[in-house]
Amino acid sequence: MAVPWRLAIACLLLLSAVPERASAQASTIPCSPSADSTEARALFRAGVAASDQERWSDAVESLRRSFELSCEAPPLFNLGAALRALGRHREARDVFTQLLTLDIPQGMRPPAEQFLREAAARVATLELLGVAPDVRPEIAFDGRPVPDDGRRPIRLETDAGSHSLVLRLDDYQPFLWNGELSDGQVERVVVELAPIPVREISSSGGGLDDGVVAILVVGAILAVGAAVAIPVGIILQDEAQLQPLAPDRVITVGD
Amino acid sequence: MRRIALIALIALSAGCTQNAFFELQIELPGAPAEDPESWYAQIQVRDQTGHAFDVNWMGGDLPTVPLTSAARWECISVQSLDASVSLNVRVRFCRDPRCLAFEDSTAPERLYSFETPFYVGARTYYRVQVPEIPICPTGDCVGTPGTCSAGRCTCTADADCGGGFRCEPGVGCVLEVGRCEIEGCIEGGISNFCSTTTGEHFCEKNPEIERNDEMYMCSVP
Repeated sequence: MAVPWRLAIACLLLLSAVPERASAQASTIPCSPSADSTEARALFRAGVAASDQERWSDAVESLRRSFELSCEAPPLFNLGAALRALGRHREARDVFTQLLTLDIPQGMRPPAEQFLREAAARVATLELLGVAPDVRPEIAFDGRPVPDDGRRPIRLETDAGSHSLVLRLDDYQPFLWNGELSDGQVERVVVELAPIPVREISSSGGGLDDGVVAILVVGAILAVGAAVAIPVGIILQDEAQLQPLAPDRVITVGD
Repeated sequence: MRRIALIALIALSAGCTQNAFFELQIELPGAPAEDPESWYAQIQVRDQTGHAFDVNWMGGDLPTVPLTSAARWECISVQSLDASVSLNVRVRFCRDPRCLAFEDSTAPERLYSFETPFYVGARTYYRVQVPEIPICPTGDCVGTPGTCSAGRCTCTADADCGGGFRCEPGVGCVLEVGRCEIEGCIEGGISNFCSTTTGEHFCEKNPEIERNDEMYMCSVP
């Protein structure tokens, strides 16, 4: 793991010297500098020491907390490097992206940009095709819920490895996917939601059939609304139709 | 009472999409550089019912397109209200702008059949390239299906045409485009547009999903 430790040590010195300042506005990791930077410095040292011993998970925890308490670039840079070492490229990409929005030392920018490029290229993507924009299934990826913002196709970014996906939608059988993704792979999955079969319940007894009642009620409503529906329907008729992409080259068939 | 309900139902259904568009994109070849005379492409689209390839189709066609020195895409929006319609398409290469020259009665042509490309409320797409006018002045059909006969590429059996084509003896090779090859109603770069589990076309399942227009070869108004 080629983490620039000389840079890390330089950053450590820098961290001890920098004054407090406001949180970065667009931070992916929120931060709030405390008046006393002692704890942030101690956490940064601990994080660097853990990185030195390749205890990457410990390093991630210390460096993340150090950044949260300081809003400074050095712990964020080293956090990105530790995430990269753990193969958590998606998080590393986000950290380096956030880092490059900060006012960082000149010497830190080129390696940060390089790490960002490398991490971004290794992020794996699962693309879910065939889900209509107005359909909002409940999505769980690797057991965690994923919010659906309505953009299609649904794109789930992750790291290389084995993954599982479950989509749930009312009245449909869950859609399951399990698979292996490699670094930088874009896997397209066509989501096919199969409706849960509905068992028909036949009415018994001598009363009026529910279906007949429903038809009568609907019929009555339609009769009342017909006078309004007819002109409205005529107006909507044209607007509801698909329009050609080549309006000057249209052929109609089958009429 | 029943009549009123029927009228109301008809009126309400008027707000629903009832048509379908099949956006056909054909890349026409450039005119042969060594040929001093002009070429025009005529694209004819017909319901398969009553429009076999062994007869000429008359009337109701779009204006021909003059071939230029370079290949170019020509896009046609084919509309139908009937999802059961299959299409026959012929691209004729004529000498006359209206395809009325004497020799245009046997104009070289490329033939396509599309299996049920329409889904009510959905837009479907297909792209096809015609790399060259299907003539064979040197006696070989290079880059176009068929065997050479009297300067035209034609066929007598399927073996003359190659995979994906069927032979209309004496007429030419017909590219058969199956329903699952018709693009539509799913995003992304895939080649099979039918469900692998149910066999349904994606436009039967999700007609409201539009493919993005990045793959459309003509400018969108």
